Amino acid sequence: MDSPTANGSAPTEPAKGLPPVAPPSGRFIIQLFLVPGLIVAVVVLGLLGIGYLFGSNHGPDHFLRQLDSGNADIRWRGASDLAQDLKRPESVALRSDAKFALDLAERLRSALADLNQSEKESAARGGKLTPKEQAEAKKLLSAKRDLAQFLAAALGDFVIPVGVPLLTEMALFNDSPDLPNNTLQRRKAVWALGNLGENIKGFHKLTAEQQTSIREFLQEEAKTGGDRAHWAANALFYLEKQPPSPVPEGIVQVDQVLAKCARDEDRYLRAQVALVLNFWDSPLVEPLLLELARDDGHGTLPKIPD
Amino acid sequence: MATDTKTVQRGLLLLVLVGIVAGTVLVIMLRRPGRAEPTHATRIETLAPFLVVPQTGFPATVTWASLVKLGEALPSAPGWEIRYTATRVLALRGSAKIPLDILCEMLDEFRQLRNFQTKLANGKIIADEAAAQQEVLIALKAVAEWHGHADAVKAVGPDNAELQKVYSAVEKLKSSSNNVVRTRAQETYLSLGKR
Repeated sequence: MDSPTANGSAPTEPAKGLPPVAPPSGRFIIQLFLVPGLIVAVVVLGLLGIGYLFGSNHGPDHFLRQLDSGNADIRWRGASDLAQDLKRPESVALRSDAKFALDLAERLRSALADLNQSEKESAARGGKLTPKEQAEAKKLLSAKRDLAQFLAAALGDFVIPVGVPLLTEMALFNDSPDLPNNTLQRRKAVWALGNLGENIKGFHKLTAEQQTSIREFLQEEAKTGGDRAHWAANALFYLEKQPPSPVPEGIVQVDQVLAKCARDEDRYLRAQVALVLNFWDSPLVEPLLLELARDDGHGTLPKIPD
Repeated sequence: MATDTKTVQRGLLLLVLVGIVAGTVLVIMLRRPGRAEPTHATRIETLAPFLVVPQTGFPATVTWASLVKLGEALPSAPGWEIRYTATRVLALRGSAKIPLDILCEMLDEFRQLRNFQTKLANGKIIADEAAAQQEVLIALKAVAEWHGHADAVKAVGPDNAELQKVYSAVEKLKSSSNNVVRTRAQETYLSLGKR
């Protein structure tokens, strides 16, 4: 045990009070790495399991509940989740849920009415408010505007064009006291219309059963009356590969709306329309594009404040 | 003792050398990438005095050669973003009425460098080369797409003067100084059935 050292001298005794130094055993090393590894693995699997069981309920009802929440944080968390889910290729079921689209359209209708009302009230008492009150009013308006713009963008992601009447209305709306933000809202609405025009193609990729089921649902809704009926009728019209001519009463003609936007004073909006025309085909599209291809750059290019 | 001093000197020298190398590497790594001003950029204001010859009467008042040169140095007229987008969409649709002059303008590399300008932090305005290159690439793609619509090409007429200008513009881009543009122009030229 007490072997001589390299220089032949006898090994010195370890200092009293210190434990003897021994090389770590294999078992010790396994304990050192394996046990913490197992603990981490169990925790991660547990979290994944909880997420799988309780966190994956991202259905329409879940989103609507979150969007209707009185808590702004929950509302925006829901909006963020919905925006991401709608963009995912595997979320076809969500994007082709006609009832969900109509429910969102109802919320957009209310959000727009609320925003317009608040803007007018805010403009009316603008001079009477203290700077602090003005800042608060601006913040409140900003939140309402964000909600309306989010809902408009979400409707543009659906394969069912129930958003056509509301998006076209937003694209043409020019009666806001807040000109810069209204300009931005119009641009976003036109952009959403472009997305919608492209996404409608997704409807024709659905199975025949799914298409029939969606059409039947929309036909039922179209009979009910009110806004939902109007939106459903428009969706049915634009889901046809060859929309009927002449255009039935109550149907919003997207090409006519885009034509109005193509003659708007906002140069950015006109450039957007030129792009969006790529996704909405009609006999009016080519003449409009030829008109825009000779655009003389008239009008303005309003800068939108951050 | 003398050997020790030499070793210390060598060590210090080595330290200085390593310091210089490390400093150079750090400077290269931390240097903010600046944008080089395009060498071909013509300053428009330098052409202005040559435009008018006050001693003579109109139309001789205007030196037309300078006017042409000024036109070459100016960006496109306002609204070019709208015109370009509309032309691009018409190309994708295979329209026989596509404005080939606009398409030709979109393929003009130098014109795009004048159209796409950006302001640096120091207030200097320079060409946004990446954006200009992107526009030219989009135009090349639009040409290829449009040319794929045989009926549109036939309607315009393969011998159409404007169309020949488009072909020439693509051919010119084959010798662009930009690798990406050059390669894409070569591909596009081949797709037009040209050799």
